[in-house]
Amino acid sequence: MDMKNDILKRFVADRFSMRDYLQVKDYMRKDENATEVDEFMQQDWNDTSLSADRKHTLGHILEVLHEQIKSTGETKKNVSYDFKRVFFKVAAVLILPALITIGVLSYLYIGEQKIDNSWVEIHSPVGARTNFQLPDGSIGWLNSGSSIKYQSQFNDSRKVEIEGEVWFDVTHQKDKDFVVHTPYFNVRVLGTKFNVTAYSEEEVAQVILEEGKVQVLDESNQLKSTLKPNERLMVNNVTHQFTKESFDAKSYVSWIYGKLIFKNVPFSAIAERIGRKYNVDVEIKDEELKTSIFRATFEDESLEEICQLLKGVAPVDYKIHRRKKSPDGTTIKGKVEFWLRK
Amino acid sequence: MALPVRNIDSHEVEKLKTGDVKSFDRLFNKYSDRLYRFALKYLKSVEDAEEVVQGVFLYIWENKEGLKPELSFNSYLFTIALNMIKKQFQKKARENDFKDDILCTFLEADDSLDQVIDYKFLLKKVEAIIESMPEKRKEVFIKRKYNDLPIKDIAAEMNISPNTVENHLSAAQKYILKELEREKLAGLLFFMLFIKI
Repeated sequence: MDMKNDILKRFVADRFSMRDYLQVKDYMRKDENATEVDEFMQQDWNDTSLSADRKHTLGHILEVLHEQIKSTGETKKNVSYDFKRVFFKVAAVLILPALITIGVLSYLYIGEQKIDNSWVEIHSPVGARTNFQLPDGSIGWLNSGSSIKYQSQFNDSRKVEIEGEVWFDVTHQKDKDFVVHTPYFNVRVLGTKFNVTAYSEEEVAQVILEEGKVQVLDESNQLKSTLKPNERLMVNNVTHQFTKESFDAKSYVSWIYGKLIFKNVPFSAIAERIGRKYNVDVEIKDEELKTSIFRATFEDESLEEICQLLKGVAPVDYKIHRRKKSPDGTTIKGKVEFWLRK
Repeated sequence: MALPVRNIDSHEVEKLKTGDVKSFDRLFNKYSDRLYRFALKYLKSVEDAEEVVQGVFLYIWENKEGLKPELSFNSYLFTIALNMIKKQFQKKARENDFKDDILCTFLEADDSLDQVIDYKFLLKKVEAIIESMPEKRKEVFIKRKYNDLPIKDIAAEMNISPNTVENHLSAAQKYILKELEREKLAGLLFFMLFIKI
């Protein structure tokens, strides 16, 4: 099962060998493999984002489809047209108030169509930051490997869905809530600066408030907590526990400027942020080191430089394993190991 | 992301049921690109992927009366796409089976069956080489490998001896492998074969 998945994965990613291809051909042909292939494709479909790839437009296909639709629907259309004409003639003469009602209804109907709009998804690649602007003028930053999704025109409520870490500067709009949905909780605000972290692979998600006021709601929209500036709410995705503490928001959100500022934080937290910024796995070999408290500010340093700096100020040593390619063509993520110098 | 979007299209689907072309267009604009990219991953051909997009949406239009607005349109679309993609994949695979055999022979000799390859590129090369063969030889080769005709039938059809058919076949096989080897030595294929991304 796993092997099949791996082969299919390589195939769809265009990183396959001839032997892989022959296997895929076999899977696609034999009924006994159908469920596994279907399941793989279902997952792959879910993972294929909706956002348009502007390089390849499909307008010409829609045109062809219109031609095909027209040729199959010609007769029906004429009938309904005639019916409409007769109906309006009768209506105009006999029931003017009804016509007005129809007018109002069709106005509402058209109004509704305008509201309808498509979803936009912005994704920040791993190891990069991406800034964005929303239709209401609110701005923000996506951290490494994060994404935001919203309808291209906000209607009565301003609603976004996020994954990963996002910093928001929301413009104030009277009576128009701005709601951030994550898989674990929702954040309701009026206008403010705040940071939301909800990576699906991490156990703890969090909300950090810089300015203003936000409300945090659980999945069933029950109010869980109201935050004041420089407070942090942590949500454990496993136990569903909410914990609030005071927190230095300014230094934390410095990631949006490409800085990493740490004031009295344990080494494990530094490791996590470095890992995210440079897309590497960080391994701390000594338990004692994990809980050691540090102060540090990094800005635009390379991974190597940061490690050197840490080595200079603390009794630690490190080893960097560069990202490399395995024989089957997949990439092995880079890794940094830290340990206490004895 | 766990999104509460299951029935997000129900409003649009309801209108599509009544034959609203505008709703059809909006659903096309929303899903066609995703469908195209998805199909391309499996079919590896722009034309085939576009054909799937067209086929899926035509099917949706022709069966719009049976649509159920309360069910996920996304899942419905996927189910139709899944079947069309598989069918198209099988069709193409059948057409390419004999070229795949050639590629296998070639790569096996080179011990490269497990190397990451650019399959589409190699397939094009094989096709070009087959095209470049003399008319008669090409005809024999296609009849045998693609149409799977027995040697004696080919001989009868083309009014040549079975021996000549066999000679054509072995010459064709040798020629194609030699040409592939030459391309490799010319640097072209070599690059494509052994590059690892």
